[in-house]
Amino acid sequence: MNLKLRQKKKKRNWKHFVPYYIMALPGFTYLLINNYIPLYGLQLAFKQFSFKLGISGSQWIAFKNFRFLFASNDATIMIRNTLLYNLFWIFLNVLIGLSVAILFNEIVNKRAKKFYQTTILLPHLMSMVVIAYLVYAYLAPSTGFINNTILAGLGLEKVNWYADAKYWPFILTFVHQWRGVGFGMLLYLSSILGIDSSYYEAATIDGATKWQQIRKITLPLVKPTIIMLVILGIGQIFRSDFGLFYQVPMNQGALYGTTQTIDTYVYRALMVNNNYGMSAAASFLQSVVGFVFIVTANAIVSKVDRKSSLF
Amino acid sequence: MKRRLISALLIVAVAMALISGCAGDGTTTPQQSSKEPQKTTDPSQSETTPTTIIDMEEDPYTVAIQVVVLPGTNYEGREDREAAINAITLPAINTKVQIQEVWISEVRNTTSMAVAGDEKIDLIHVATVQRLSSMVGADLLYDMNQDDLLATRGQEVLEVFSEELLEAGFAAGQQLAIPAKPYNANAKGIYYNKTFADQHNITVPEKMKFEDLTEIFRQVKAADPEIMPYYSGSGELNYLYWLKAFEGYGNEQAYGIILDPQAEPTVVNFYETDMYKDYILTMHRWKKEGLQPGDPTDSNPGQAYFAAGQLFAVVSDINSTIMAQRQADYKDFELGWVTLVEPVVTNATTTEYMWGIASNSQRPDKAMDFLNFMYENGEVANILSYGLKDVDYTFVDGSNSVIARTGSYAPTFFVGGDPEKMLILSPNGEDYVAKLKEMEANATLSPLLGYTFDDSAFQTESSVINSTILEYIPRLNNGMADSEEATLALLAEFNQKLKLSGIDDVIAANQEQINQYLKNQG
Repeated sequence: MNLKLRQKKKKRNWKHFVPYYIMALPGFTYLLINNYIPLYGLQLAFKQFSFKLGISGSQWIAFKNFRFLFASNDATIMIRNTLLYNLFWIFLNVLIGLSVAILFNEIVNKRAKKFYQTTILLPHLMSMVVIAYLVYAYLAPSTGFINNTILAGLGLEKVNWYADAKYWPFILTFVHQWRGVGFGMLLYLSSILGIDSSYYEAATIDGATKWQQIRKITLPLVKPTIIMLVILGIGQIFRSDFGLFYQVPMNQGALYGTTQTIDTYVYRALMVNNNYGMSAAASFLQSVVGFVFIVTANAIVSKVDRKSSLF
Repeated sequence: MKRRLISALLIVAVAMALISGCAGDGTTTPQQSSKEPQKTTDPSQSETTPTTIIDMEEDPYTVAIQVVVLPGTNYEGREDREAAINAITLPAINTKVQIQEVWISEVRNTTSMAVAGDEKIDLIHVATVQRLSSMVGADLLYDMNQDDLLATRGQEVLEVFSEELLEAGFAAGQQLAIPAKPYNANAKGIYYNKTFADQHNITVPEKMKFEDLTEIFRQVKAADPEIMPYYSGSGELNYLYWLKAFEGYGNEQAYGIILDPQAEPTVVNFYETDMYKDYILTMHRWKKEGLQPGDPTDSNPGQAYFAAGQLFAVVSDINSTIMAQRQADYKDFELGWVTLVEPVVTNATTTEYMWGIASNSQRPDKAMDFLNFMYENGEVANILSYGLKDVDYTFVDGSNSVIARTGSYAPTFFVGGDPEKMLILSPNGEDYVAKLKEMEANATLSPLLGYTFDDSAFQTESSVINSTILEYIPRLNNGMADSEEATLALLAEFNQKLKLSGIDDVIAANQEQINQYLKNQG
């Protein structure tokens, strides 16, 4: 009897979830088509791809396609740039995104809130090519706003921004944050808005200052979101925003010292050769390194605080 | 636990079934899969008796042909042009055409994606930014000697092009392309705004050396400081190619150059030559003097500045065809031409425009039929080159062969057809073909005309070398370093990096292949 009841309940539960499964179907189909079926192409990384013979017919060549990534003495520079920018930006994304979200949460006026939200999110919706030309409008050597108006106004020498690599870690960081802070902030804000307001009411009654409320209530409750975003960020540590590193510096060779990343190197090296095998090898390596980093980061988090780990 | 395992196994099984269902990469056509690898032969050595076998009873096949145009252009009337061609080709060779207009900035990606994705594509523009020399190792092109395709279905092609010219499309033991132009002699130099020069009493000789340009450009600058005498653009193209004589291999001379093919066929690193060193030092001086802007972030084409009257001179190939096309492009002022390099027929001038058949073409035989017919029937080439009569062009008064454009259709990078059977674009006149022949007859013929470097064993080095070149030449070609010493230091750093990228190995292999080629030539 008991068993029958349980079976009946299970049946009801399964039926209960059918609409949700149907709702998930488009997303699942998207993932399958976009993320899983292309896994078949991973073998390209180990093949001498021939357009005539196709993927399955091409010759296996083991790790030969990976050679070009390390054949240049730029390998150290591009790997260094990719890793350091990502590490620094993961930290900055948390710091700035969370700070802005906390400040945003304090805005009471609804209209002001909507206005700021739109303004701060707008750059995220802009194409990187448009952003590149916006930056160019400021930094162009002879016609740019900074050289022509600001530096000229102050009686200072013009700076050839596109000829000196030392400025670009700052420029790229600024552009990255300006473009991404709105979206990052939204994720943290949604998490903050989910915190029960009675915690804050109780803390206010007990005489806690704003800073104390942030430290003792907001940060601990937002911690899972921070950890999740950091782990996801670490998974992308071997990748870079191609548009940011290629378009914004206008593909200037003089800037490669600080703007060359794995993605831009692969693009530059292969745009002349049409070599799909080498492109696949670079992408494969990025995925493997990303996977290793994610698993490692998750394992560390899991050791410190099991509840906060992703899996 | 067991259930979880079973469901996990089921998921994997379903996923594998789905993946294997989609596993066909589609790049192998049924025709190709049924073929055994064929022996390939040099066209000059082929002894097959030419016989054309066109099945007029089968369903007509549609040949897709790339027509490469300037970025941003989208010509109206494509369907009308296709219909006009079909009206000719259907009864003649039982073939229809699909014109694929592609922007030159996208042609390389479009081609490789189309072949890789088995999209409809038959005739490939093997030219300009996707040259044969960089396509040999990519396996994008069908061997026209397979099934004796060229010998049996390309009689007109064999008639129009000499063995030497056809050999320029022969690489890695395969006939991968055929030249697009029967006449390949080219002089090189610059064209300039003659109206401006005349207004300011600047005398520009018709022939001079690159070194003499400095004085002319100084006069231009003195006459109007607002005008740019010279423009290096983004610097990613070596304009020295149009200013000095040499035979180069690979994109931006990545596989080396031969300074004088007539005297000594020794391949050297282009970037280590005194010629390149002198050029970049000149560019540095020109930048200092304001004779060129030297801004590699400016990627606008020089032609745009020239058309706007903001640039005095542009580097160019020089022959009757180009001179007429350019003058038709710039109607507001008269053009002058300066020859810096005397006419030559080299592998570079011949492979500048070629046609290839896509390796995924469903019917390479029909693609060859169409290609062959384009050189047999002038009207097909006329429609592709000039559009339709009374829509895109009219005949000039008193002539039934010289035309003037009236519409906007001008596919800048389309080259095809036999000029002897085609219309003539004014300001060229009835003597156009005679001029082409004369130039061809007077041009120096390179002993390496038919040689193409097979880079397939150097794909890794090629990638790294090309990347290194793109890193340095924009700065060097724009004279961006602070001083002449800094320019030379940058050049030394560049060459050091090229060596680390393996350029010496590639050049040695190129030399070895050239030696073998010359030995085979006897």
